[in-house]
Amino acid sequence: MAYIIAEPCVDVKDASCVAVCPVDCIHGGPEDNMLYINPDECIDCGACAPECPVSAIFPEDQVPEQWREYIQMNYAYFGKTK
Amino acid sequence: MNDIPAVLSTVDPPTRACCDRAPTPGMLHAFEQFNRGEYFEQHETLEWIWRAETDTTIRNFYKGILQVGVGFHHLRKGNYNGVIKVLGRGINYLKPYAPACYGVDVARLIEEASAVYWRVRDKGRLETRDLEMELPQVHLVRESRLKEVRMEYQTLPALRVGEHVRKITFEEYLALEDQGVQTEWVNGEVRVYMPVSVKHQQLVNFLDRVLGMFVELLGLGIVLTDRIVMRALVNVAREPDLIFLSQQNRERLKATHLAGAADFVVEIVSDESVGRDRADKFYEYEEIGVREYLIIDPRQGKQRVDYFGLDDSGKYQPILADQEDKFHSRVIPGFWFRKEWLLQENLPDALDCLAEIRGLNDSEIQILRRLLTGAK
Ligand code: SF4
Ligand code: SF4
Repeated sequence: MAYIIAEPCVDVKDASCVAVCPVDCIHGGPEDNMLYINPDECIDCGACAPECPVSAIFPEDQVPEQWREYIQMNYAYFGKTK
Repeated sequence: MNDIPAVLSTVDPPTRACCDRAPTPGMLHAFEQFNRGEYFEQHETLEWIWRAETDTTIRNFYKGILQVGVGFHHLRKGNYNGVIKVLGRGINYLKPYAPACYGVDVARLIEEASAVYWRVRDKGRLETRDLEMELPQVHLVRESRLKEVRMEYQTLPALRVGEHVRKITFEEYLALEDQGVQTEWVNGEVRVYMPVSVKHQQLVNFLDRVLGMFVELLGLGIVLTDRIVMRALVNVAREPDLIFLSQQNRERLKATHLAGAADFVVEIVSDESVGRDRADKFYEYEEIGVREYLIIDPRQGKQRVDYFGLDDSGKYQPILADQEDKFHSRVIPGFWFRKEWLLQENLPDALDCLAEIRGLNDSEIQILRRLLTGAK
């Protein structure tokens, strides 16, 4: 399990979450339109979720139905499949 | 030994001054968790401390230890990528703090953790799950050496927010108190904190009125706010937001400070104080025997009340609300409160709350109000 970033982040990307992740596992470069959480490094501490101003971050098993494709996208960003 | 590939862009160089400090009780607690192999728990403790630390020259020290621990957590789960990334990053974070910092033998931790890192790399992804090895611990350098470096550390005080000032004695610290800033005395250093917000003051004031009147009416003891100095450990003095001291411990109250533990302490959390309140003070208050500790976090999005009482073995256990959502104090007989009182935007009427605690019904409260206001 990991935390997943979903659609509300797109084009917001203000990185509030990055500053609180204790293991620095939230990534994304200037060319991306959102950020992604590395599922290998995430320890499910939940620190990032309340920091997000647009509530884009969910535990993997609680991602709302309409955004479930973002689970796959988070994994794929780090070259993994779910 | 080979260097681990750098994954960091910038690390603020530490100053010797911060490295020369002794570890705080919160840190020692985290190290104990680390050494017991409670890697998730050590991360939580260090995360509080890390997030509260405003001194950027030391923040990565906490993060380094935290991530080395999380790397071991991933290793236990057989997560090769997690070990390589997080353990590697943790070790690199620690490098500027070698050989020793906050009493920790950093050089030794780096060396031993690097050995684990390279072993995992050599064995490769497929064998990570089956790797059996003893994992390194956090060791402290000799206490005597800590004392030597502490002695050298002498500069003049300059009271600015967030600054750690030179070593002074407890008596000198008390003399500084009338400067009108919020300070605490930790390991012999003065720390200066942000002035508190209006909301914070209102909350303290509300509790002061309700609890203060309650204990006065019943002759149970005394409630003090306004930065009363409480000597926590030999070398630490805190200024809790509110304390209650029972009648039988009254002799602990001296002319300028409280020598020993209060019976009940309230701290109100702000962004800047969260690590101190939840980690450092939690363990200090437990250690010196503050019988109940109430932590109120009124911040947007947090809105938490955590209430702890000492159990028979002197450890804090959470105190939970009863079926009617009342939290009952065990050290202030008859006193209880509701969480909503403390978290609502506009604080409730103190007199109403006091009357409710004393079991008055609505019409009795009306009568009491009329008598007090003189209204017909
Ligand atoms: S849950 Fe914790 S570890 Fe995972 S991304 Fe959020 S802050 Fe980082
Ligand atoms: S805080 Fe939320 S919106 Fe901002 S970058 Fe993180 S996930 Fe995206």
